[in-house]
Amino acid sequence: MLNSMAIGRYYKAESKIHDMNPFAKLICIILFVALSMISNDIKLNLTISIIVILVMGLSHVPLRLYYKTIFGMRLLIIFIIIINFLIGANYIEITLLVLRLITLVLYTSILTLTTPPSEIAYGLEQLLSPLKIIKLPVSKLALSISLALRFIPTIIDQSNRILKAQASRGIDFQNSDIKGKLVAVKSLLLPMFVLSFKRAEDLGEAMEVRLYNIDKPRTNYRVNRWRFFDTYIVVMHLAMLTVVIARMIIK
Amino acid sequence: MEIKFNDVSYKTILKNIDIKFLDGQIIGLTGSSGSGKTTLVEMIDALVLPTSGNVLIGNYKVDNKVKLKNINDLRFNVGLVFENSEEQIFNTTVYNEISFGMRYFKYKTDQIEKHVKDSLNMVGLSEDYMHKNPFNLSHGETKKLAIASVLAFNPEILILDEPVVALDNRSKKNLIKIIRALKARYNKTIIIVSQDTDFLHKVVDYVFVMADGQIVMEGTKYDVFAKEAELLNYNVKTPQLIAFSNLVLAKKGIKIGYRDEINDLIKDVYRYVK
Repeated sequence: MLNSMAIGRYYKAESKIHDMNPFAKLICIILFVALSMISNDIKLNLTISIIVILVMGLSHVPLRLYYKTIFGMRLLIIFIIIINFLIGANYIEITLLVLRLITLVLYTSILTLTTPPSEIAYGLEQLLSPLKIIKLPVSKLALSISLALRFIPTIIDQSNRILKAQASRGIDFQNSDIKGKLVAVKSLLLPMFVLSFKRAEDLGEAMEVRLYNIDKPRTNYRVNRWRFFDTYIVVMHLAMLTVVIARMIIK
Repeated sequence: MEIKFNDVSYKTILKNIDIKFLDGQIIGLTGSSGSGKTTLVEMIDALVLPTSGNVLIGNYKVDNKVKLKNINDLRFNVGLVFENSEEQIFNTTVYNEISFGMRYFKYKTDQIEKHVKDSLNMVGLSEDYMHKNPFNLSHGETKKLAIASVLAFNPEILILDEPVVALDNRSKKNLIKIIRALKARYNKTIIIVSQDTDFLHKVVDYVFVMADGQIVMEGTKYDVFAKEAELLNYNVKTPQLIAFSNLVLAKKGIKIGYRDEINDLIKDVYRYVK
């Protein structure tokens, strides 16, 4: 079940998107989220979807990984449709909502699939660097986020192993009734907490024995240069957002 | 309960496995990392379904064509202890851990208590452990608890995946005693997956060697482990006792025979020197 989630997994490949500066990718994500949130038009949302598909193609990541991400959240999508249907939303509104959710998740997946966690941390640090003025511990925050991202696939693998152990003792998540599923999920929580804390402790100790000091300023092994392609993509996102805002004002 | 793999393949991990595990034997499965040992044993518990071929476990048939209706009956008959025992534990007390499946399937309280006590006895843990927190147990005790948890259903087949990893010498000896007792007293079929051939040599009757998803060697432990050069070819270490006997034969031309225990070997050598 949990194997279907591709969020947080990095896929190594050679592509323009992989080569982009992580800082530029994060700016694009923010602009894309804004764009997606303010566009209430179905045509515009379809255009956005086409752009997402184009970027997915440019990323050279197998489409099945994106498909797995969407397939993994099918229950959430069904839930959203049912709830909106019950509160009396019409089918255009529901389509818009679902389309928006799918494009947002896919766009975020492009970031995580094409950027290793350490690079995401670098991007976040750059993005949040202005906040250093108000004494916000930006490096610590970036490190925490990158570690959390790095642990998502590990935790998914871990829960898969626990579910397998439960199945071998008669409570199979996939093949049992709702009661069995609830028992399986309930008894998944305890070991997940215990093992996650244990792993976090192990990681902390491993970092300490390698003399990692969070208070020292960090340098980067690889210098992420800002290329023309980064400027081009950011400008494109900005232009799209400007056009949409301008259209809204004119209307 | 006899287990038969009929031309089983799974993705690129297992290729055309055609073997039989006989009832009441202790069977060893060895091979280098990534050779497909764990996938093979998980198929016996229907946790992994073959992409082609089928596995017959007594009257149960595991394949990818028909969904097994009585899957829980099969799993009660096959006890699988995973490599990382800590990951197999999901309750706050030893009692709850062992009775996990039984409570769900609404066994009577006195019946549950009997099963819990019996399985603790089988693995050599006292009843005082019942109310302890499993996350505070030592590695060896956790391993014993994991075995007790699967023994609670009194399975006919017991599968131990890498049971001696990170175990100290005393725990290893204890585990060997438990395995021998389970076979002798309860006549269980026991399948042990391990890269530790010294351990396998001490307990198993029959051995399978895997490489690249295929069974490359099989036979009684003396037949298989005596072929040092062939084992080396598949990146499997020859048990030390057998390696010593082979060395004596090669260097001095003396055949002292193969022994399971170091003490027996020492006696043989002493007799010969005397």
